[in-house]
Amino acid sequence: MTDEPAPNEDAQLVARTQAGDPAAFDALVVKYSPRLYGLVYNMTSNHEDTNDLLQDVFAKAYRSIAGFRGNSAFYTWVHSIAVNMTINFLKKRGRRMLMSLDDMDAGVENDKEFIELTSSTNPVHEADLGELQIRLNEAMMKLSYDHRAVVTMFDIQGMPHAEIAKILGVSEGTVRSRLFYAHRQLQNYLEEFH
Amino acid sequence: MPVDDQMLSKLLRLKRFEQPPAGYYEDFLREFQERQRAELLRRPTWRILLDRWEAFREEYFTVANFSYATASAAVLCVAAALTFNMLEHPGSGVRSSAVALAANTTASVQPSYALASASARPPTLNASLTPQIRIPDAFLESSFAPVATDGNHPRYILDTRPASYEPPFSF
Repeated sequence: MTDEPAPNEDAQLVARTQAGDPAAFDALVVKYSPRLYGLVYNMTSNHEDTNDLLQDVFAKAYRSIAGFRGNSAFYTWVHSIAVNMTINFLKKRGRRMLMSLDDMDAGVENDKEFIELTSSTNPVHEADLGELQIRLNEAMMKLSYDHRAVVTMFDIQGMPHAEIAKILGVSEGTVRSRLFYAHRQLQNYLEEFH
Repeated sequence: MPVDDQMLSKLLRLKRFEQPPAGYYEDFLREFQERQRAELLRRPTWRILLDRWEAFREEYFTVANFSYATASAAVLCVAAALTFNMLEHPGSGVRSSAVALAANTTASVQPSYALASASARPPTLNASLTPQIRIPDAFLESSFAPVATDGNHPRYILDTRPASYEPPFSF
C-alpha cells in the first residue's frame, strides 16, 4: 500500500533546503503532508487538531533540518517527529476525547474490502458498517498512545514492521507484540457492539 | 458476531478513506508558507532596535561605514604608539604637551574675581595659567647648530632627527 519513498529525490530536496531553498522544503511538504495527515488524524481522531499538529510538525522539521545528517531516510525522520509530537499533544490533552471525524472519501465504494464487507453474502450491511467505523474510532481512542501509533502505521497506513520500528526507535519484536495486544483490545471492544 | 482478525484488518484499512475535504492540502501548504513568513517577521525586540539604530545612522551620518572603523583604528594605533614610547623612555624624549598642559593647568589655575569696588579692576587670571610647552631635550641638542668639520666650511645639516614627527598634543 505504501509508496516506496525515493531516497535520492528526498536527499536532493533536503540538500537544497539546507542550502537555503525554501521551495525545496515546500516540495517535501506537498509530498508528505497526505501521509502524515493520515498518521496524525488516526491518532487524534480530530481534524482540527490534526491540522494544527501537522503545521507544527513541518515547522519543527524545517527548524531542525539543518542538523539532519541523513543517517536515516527523511521519510523516517519526519515520521518520528510527527509521532512524538502527536503523543506529546495527546498526553497534554489527556482524556478529553473530541472526535471530529473526516468524511469517508467517495472512493471507498470502489474499495475491494468495502465491497466484500457490504456484499449481500456478508452480514455486515452498509448502515452497520458506518456505525462500526464510529465504534472502531472510539475503540482506537481507548488504546494507549503507543498501541494506537503501531495500529495506525501498520494496519491503516500499511507500513512494514521494520519501518515502524525505526520510526518509534524500538525493536521489531516490540512492534509485533504491541500490535498483537492492540488487536485483542479492539476486537473485545467491537464484540461488545455486536 | 465476533470480529476476527481478518475483519478487523479490513475495517482498519477502510480508515484510509477518511480524508479531509477537497483542496485541503493546497490550503495547508499556503497556510504553512504564511506561518513561515510570520515567524521570520517576529524578531526579538533588541534586534529590531539595533536595526532601527543602524538605519538611523545610515540616514543621518553620511560618512562611509568603514571610516568609523578606520578612524577608530587610527586613534587606537596612535594611542598605543604613544603609550609604548612613554613606557620605553619614561624620563626623556618627547613629553606629551597635553600631559604638561593638564598638570600645569590643574595645579595653577586660580581665577581671581574682584567684587565691584572703587578700583573696579577686571578679574584676572593667574599668569601661570598660560600653557607651558616643554621643549624636548633632543631638540635642544643643537641639532641645527652648525657643526664644525675637518674642513673650513661649517656644515648646516641635520645630524640628528628632529624631535618628533608625531603630532603635538597642543590642541
